[in-house]
Amino acid sequence: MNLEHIRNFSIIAHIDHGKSTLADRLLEQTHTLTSRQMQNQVLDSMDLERERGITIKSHAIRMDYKAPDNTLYELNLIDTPGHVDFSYEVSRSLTACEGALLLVDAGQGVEAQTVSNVLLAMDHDLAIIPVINKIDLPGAEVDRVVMQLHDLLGVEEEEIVKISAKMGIGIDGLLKAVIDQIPPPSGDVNAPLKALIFDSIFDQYRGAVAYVRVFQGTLKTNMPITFMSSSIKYDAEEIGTLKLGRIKQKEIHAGQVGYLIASIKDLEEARVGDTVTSTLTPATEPLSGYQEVKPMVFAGLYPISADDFEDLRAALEKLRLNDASLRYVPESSTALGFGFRCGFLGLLHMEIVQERLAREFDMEIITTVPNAEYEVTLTNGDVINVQNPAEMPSPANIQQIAEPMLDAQVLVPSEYVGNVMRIAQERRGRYRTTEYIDPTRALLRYDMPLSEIVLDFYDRLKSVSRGYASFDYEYKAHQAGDLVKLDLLINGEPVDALSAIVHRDKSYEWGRALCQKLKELIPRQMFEVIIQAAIGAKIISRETVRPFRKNVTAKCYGGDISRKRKLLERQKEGKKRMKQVGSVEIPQEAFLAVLSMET
Amino acid sequence: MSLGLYIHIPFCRSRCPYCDFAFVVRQTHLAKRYTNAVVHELQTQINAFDTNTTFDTLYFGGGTPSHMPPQYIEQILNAVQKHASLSSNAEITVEANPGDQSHFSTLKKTGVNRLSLGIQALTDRALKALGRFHNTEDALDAFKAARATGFTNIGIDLIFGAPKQTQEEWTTILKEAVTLNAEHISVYGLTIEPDTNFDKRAKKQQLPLPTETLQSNMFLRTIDHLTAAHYEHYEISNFAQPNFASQHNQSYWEGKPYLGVGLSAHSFINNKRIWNVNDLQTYMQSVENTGLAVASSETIDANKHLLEKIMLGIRRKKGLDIDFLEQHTPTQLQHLLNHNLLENHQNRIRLTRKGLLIADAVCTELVKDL
Repeated sequence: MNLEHIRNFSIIAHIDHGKSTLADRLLEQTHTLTSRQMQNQVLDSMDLERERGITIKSHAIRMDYKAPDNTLYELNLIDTPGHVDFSYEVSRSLTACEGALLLVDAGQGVEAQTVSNVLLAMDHDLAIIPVINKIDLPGAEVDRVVMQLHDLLGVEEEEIVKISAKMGIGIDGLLKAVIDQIPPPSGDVNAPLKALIFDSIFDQYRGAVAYVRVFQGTLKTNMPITFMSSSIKYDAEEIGTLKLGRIKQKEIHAGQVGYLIASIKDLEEARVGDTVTSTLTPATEPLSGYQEVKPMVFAGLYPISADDFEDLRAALEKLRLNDASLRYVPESSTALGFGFRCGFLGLLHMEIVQERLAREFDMEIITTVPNAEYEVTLTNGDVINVQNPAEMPSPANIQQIAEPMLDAQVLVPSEYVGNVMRIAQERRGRYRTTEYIDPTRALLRYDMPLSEIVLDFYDRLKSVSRGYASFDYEYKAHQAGDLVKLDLLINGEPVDALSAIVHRDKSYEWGRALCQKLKELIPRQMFEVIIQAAIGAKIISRETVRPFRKNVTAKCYGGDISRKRKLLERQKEGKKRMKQVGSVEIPQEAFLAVLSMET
Repeated sequence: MSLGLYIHIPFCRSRCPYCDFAFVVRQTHLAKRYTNAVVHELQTQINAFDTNTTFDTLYFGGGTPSHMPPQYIEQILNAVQKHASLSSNAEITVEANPGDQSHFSTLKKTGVNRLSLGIQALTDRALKALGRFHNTEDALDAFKAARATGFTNIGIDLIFGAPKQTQEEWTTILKEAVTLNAEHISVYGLTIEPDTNFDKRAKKQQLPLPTETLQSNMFLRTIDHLTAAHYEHYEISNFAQPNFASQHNQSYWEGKPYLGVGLSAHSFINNKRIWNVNDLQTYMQSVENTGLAVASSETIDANKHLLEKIMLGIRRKKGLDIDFLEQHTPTQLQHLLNHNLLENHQNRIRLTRKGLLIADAVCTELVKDL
């Protein structure tokens, strides 16, 4: 295919702004799928994705489009994940494109995530086509969104494409804009091969399947290839282009998008961002921008029943086959027994893993409160990474603790700016700037510690803005802070799963709130339960759950036995679901107490 | 086959605000029809057994059996003897309330050899607080009448923890009770059962019960006072003079089979527990039409049997065999022994004084792994 007739683009949009519907419409309009193949929102293939209206994995699909002048174009739509947790994957997908459709809901307008994706697209020098969707809806405020886009991109109204993906309005115009405004790819088809892996999926029969964008050279069937970051060598067993399924091709050349199958054992080997080159005539430099996927949020996952530990391991192994960003290592907790410390890209990623474990593997698990990764400088000068608060060294050995800081952006209607500022400050946010993207909407920027975000910040943000605030962030750097490890003791024994790293200024409040919440959650038992919060050896808060003084059935005769036994059975099952710390039984909810405590 | 027989008589003079048993008030005009239904059900049940049936114990509970004209008790006893046999030394108990003294001699003549008197308290204040219709004098009169009638095996029921009760008042009641020299004393901590009048008041914060600590002290005082007066504390809520433990109730705790006849009565036969409907009209109509009025049943499989054995056994002074518990729940047993909640007495495991107060929690802990 002549490079002049290829267009590679993606759609960037906030959740629910209609990205999947637009993709469906494009597939239909270009006759890529017969109507019999059309299934609503074809690109979101995981049930979870469809339910949540988000795309977790990127996908790609090739459309062969005959323009009104009868020229045949190859349009490669590279779908991007729609969530901040997956910003690296978004950036790799954007790298594979020359242009992006910026899709904005006519009712909702520009959101925080839209802004950050636009900035990302600009960083990649993509041609951006602004598109206003859902113009047919009664709540559409096209003029307002036009103004927002004007402020954001400096575009004039006539440059903005107005559509209704659902009703099929404006799709022809949009395809014309794609041809006219997105530049064709460039690249020498005869140069040494450089192909970017922008996504990969796991096929249980074929191993990892890499989705690639060829930047220079030609990827040919049976060609010996090398993945440049790992230096692992393969033979390109099968290559092809992507429609609803895989379509085998002999070769794909510079400017094209397709897939590669090469007996790649697992997704770990087909790393997103890696460069594929020819083993015989290799490129000298890989494509830039490759990064190791780095988990940001950590939590312990424990089976409710200790017998299920091996099943949990097997489930995580299987999950990782199609989610290479999931990290896990076995750990043990005195309170929760054997489990895994898992690293996630973000909170949504964590929720998805939890939900997939429940749905696809029927696993009953306890998840500990999520935390960030800390960089700890010891007094001897060594620097260690701590992913589990319980493993924080003793204060005497610590010179400094650094925590991940984020560049956080909140886009919020102006009437809620005060509320957002209040909670950002509560969460140790450092204010940077306010920009008004239109007269009614402000974009607030803060430096915020990740550890303050992982504790229900998003829910709080939604509740103080009646759901209108949108939020996005990017990791900036680790930064030293006055952080302390707060331990929680039950009858004098530390409960490792409840340890937390908190800022010293907030530690007393935290300790008190946690003790109070646990007092509510831990039922009375045979013995007194003393709940204490401590920093090092210093107790900073204390609560007591009084023991039963009298707990005895008075009458137990012939007519009472079945009823009493059933009660006993229920109580016994309840006990089984609790976790034992010393002789104290702690209900599962207690391990998430932090998330519901009132500070 | 030998078993215990329970017969439920639902009639009561008035409604007690704490009671959740199957009872009806101001319905004694139905006594005749009800008795006929009981006799009919009894006959159907006994006929269903393959073998001859002998009852070792017979217990009329309620409701208030003494409130019903005693000829109906006699009619039922006659039916028992007609369709089955009663062992020669069978314990035959009738629950009776103060005020029903006029029925005692008839009951005695028909063969009843044990009375269980619903005295509940022995101060006027406590009786009023419990919503009882009688006063202390009525209670004492009833006891004296029972003795005068010739009953040599009399049990009394007492309730501690009445609204606003103090330790002093409860001690007064205990002292007074001991002077009666009853053969058997059952002492129940007041329990607020769902949907009773007391439950409704408690939910409205209008039931000033003694604190849990005070209730536990009352229980301890009970144990000390009655054991000092030579009553054997043979089950959590039951005290008896030597050889006067309730044979009928012990058969429940030993897992022996029992037949229950009448409204809401439970039976336990051939590893099945079966219970009757608890609406009076439904009961009578059902028995009249079919001879039975079963509401539901469950099979007591090995695990349920094990739970029940532990649940009932641990409440007894006799306790449970150490080998049996070590076989089924060694870890929990050790744990509870270590915490001085259970004790080993001559290779029988029983609750300690500390364990008695929280027997339910101890039992749940003991069976946790089963």
